[in-house]
Amino acid sequence: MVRISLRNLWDHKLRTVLLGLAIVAGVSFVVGSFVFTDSLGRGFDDLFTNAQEGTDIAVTPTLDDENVGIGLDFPRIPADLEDDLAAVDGVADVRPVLQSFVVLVTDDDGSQQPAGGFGAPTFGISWIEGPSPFSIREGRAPTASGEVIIDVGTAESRGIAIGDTVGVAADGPKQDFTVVGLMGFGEADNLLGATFMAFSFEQAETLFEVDGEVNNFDISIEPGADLATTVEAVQAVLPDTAQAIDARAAAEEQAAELQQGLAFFNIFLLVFAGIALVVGAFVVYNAFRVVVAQRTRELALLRVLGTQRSQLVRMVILESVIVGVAASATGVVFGVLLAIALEAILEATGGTLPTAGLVLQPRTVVVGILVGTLTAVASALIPAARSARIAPMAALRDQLETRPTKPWWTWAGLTLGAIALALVITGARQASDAGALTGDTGPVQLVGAGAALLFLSFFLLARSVARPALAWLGRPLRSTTGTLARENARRTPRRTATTAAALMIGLGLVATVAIMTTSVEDTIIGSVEEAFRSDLLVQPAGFNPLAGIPDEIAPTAEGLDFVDSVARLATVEAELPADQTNFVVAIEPETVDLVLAFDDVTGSFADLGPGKVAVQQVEADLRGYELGDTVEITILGEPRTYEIVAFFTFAGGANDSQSYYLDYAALKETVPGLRDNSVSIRLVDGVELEDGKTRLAAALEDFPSVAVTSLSDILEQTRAALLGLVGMIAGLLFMSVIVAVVGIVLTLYLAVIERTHETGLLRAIGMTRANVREMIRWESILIALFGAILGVMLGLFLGWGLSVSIIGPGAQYAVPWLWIVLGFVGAAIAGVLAAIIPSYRATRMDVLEAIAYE
Amino acid sequence: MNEIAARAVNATKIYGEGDTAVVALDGVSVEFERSKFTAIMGPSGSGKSTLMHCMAALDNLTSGSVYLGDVELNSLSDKELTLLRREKVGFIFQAYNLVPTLTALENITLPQNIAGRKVDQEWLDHVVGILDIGDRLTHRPTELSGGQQQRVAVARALGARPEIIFGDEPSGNLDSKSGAELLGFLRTAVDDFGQSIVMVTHDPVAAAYADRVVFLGDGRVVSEMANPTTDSVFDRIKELET
Repeated sequence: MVRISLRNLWDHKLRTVLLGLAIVAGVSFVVGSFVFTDSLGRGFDDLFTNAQEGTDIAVTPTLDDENVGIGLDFPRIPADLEDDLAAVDGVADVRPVLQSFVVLVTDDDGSQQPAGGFGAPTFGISWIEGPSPFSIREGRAPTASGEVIIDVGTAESRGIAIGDTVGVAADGPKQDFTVVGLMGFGEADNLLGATFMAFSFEQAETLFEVDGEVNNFDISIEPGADLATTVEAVQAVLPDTAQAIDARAAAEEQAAELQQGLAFFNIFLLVFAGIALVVGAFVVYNAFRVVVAQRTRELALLRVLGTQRSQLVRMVILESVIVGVAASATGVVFGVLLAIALEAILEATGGTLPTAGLVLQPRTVVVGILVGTLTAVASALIPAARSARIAPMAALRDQLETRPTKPWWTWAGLTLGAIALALVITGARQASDAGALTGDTGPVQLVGAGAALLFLSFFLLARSVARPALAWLGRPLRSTTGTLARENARRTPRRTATTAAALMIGLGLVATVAIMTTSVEDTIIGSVEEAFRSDLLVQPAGFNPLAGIPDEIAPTAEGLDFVDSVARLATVEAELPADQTNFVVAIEPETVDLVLAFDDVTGSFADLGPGKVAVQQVEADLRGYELGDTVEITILGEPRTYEIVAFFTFAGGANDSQSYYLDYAALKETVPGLRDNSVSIRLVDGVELEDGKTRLAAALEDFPSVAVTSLSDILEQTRAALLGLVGMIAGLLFMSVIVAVVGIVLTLYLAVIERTHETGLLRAIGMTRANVREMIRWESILIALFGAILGVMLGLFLGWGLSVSIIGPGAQYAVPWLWIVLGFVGAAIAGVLAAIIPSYRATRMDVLEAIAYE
Repeated sequence: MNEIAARAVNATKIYGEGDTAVVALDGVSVEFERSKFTAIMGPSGSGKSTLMHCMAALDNLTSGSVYLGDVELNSLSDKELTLLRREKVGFIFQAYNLVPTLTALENITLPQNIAGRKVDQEWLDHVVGILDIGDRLTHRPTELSGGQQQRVAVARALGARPEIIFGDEPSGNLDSKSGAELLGFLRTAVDDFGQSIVMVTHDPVAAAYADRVVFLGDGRVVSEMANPTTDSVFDRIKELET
């Protein structure tokens, strides 16, 4: 039996290879994900181990999570603690460290960090003499004012060399610095794409505008000193605002957190690998089914010769095991290559991830082999069971039996479809009724469950609708080859349907995601357009959205003759009623119309002032507020009472993140040092937007830490970000689509072999090779388009359900028709490509052999 | 008008090379007259099928030449041969004659449809009438009896009015009654339409329908007989075997 299995696989090498390919793709995806994330994980571990190199204890400000506000980040501690710390028993060395967000301006492009915060951050630090995560690679440490060193990764990507002059700004105006050295982080050139610039301590103090404070102290303990005791002793000399922590433990904790993040990332990737495997399972199932049917005579002969049913089943399963193991092993190899390619791509596109070499854990190999083999075997189970049902008499029968679709498939499909529709529609209804404000994920879960059922339902129904659908699809095909192609696709509806369903999965998901993102985009753009009442917005230029902008911006802008009015906005994190923790926003009542767009206001914003608050209507409804009620908001750890003076409804739909609005002047008094989040600017009538933008940017040239944006800039950024998201997910689903195309190749290939006699006849009575190729190509295109139509139908509906349930009230439903059309074109091209191997096989076929009969 | 529909001159076909070479045709020279029904007979391995394939532009000779009408086939490419088959040759095989996805009518007109030529409706009606398959035209091959299937194949072969029709045991899979009917139709095609037919068979009963029988053995023409009867063919075969 083993010999028959092996011989059978060997005799049909191309078929075996194609079968294997369907598994290889999924397995390599699984293995690639593991290797990639494992490698990243080790890179991060190394990085964090390195980051606390030589530091045993870190003294940092006591962080109160609830007191984050604009401009309040990077809290600092008194610098004069240094002497007290040095005097603690067991402390060998104390190194003060300064740190701040900065902006790097290079000569060549003059460009700053991307506005709005999509880029990696830029950090300025004081150079630490003694043990530190940084090491000088080239040049020397910064000692004098006007000197800076930069990390190697950034220097390479921005073309900076030792001796160059670069502009750096913290809060204040841009200053020029000479690059005197390049630094690395242990082995790494760069820290996850972030830019690091180090200055002498004194230079850092002036640049960051710090006096008598530091961000933290790095402490090394004396050899032999007990760490825990020393930590306690250090803590004892610290004020409440500072804390001593075990640096190594903290690093490990950070590393562990990152590992957890990576684990999520891995699961995210594995979901797509799983989809590819499911599609692969379809393909393998279909192929085994066809092969068992084609071998009916051979299997029946074995039965005639006295082979047990169970032996036949075992033989088929054995074949799937052999294919599965071989394909999985190949998949492991390809997976490692995939991880290498991924890293190379990330590196080439500027992402600088810590590379510590590839990590191939035994677990990865075991999972890969297991998953691939199980997929292959599970897919072959039903066909194997079918092989057992072949009667010995079938050996003597001539025609392959084509069994009609069992009606229960259709009924099951219809029932599942009805349930799925109900789930999706209910979910969407609930979402638009209740709104996302409640944070209820129920609707999304309903829609998600409905989506899964709908895919299953479509799979079941595909075989019932295949014949009429293909007749309709192929109607434009009037030529003989076209007619034959259409009828060939229709003659085995189950096979065609399963093949198309494999493609449907990938394309359906791509369509769903594309429609969701377009809907999100339209919704965001709609609300941004609605809400963006000013002409220009001044925002932090750098990565950190919490950095805020300098206080001087608003007065500077107000002094410009082309500026009509200026509105400031600040936010601070606070504890809100009902245990919510969120940002409260402060606005200037007289210019609120420049910042926010309302549909409806009850009460008046003009009444805002100390101890007054305006609340979003939906929140008020939820909590049962009346005008004049008081609410308690805790800011900077202190509960404060506010009287409600206004309710409002946003014009662009509900905003689920910020519901409480305070008076700007009052909040500035409550929170000293709070910086502006943004400044909105209306231009004088008659000033062109672009002109105004250029002139404002020029007027603010001394503040490189801010960026001037207009509505179109923001929309552009939103579009780019969403397009990136669609691109990424489509890329991840690409593997499934490839597997599905392999499925088409396999199905057609098997069909070509099955129709050997027929093709021979057609060739004999005058069909040219080109005709045969055309015939197979049309059949392939029809199958691919059938799958694409099923997928797009799913996508159109599920995209709607998911958009509505995720976005909530105010959701727009938008279909990217151009992409849908391109999807169909892509499917047709995939069909053409899938036909290449089968049509080659068909045209190379010897006509004489084809028309011979045994 | 040329009286020869097809001929082979010193046709030689060798399969394989060196020690494993098998000579299928060993310098066969034979002519098939126009408007005649010729049967090719011979035991298995005598080269009768190979000869037919080479004459019908399905296979190439190793040396020698074959002509269909005036056209010499050796120098033609696969595509040219295909077009030639489409234009000038009709086929009736023992089985698998019809495309299962097409109706009987579509099968009959298939060669014209592939070529993009117009179907001669009058001729088609005539042929269909003679073959008595008029009420079967919309049926798929699986809905037809074996005899009906072969008659559809004959209709297809006749439909394009080819220079010559090659039959490879056309009645081989049929019961004797259907077989006789089918051979009768072929006879009619020759007598009434002037169609040239060459048929490979090893059935003396079938061969008796022909005007002439060519006997092959070991890749050579070993004998010939005009106006055969079942008995005379049978006797000749016996003679040749001894």
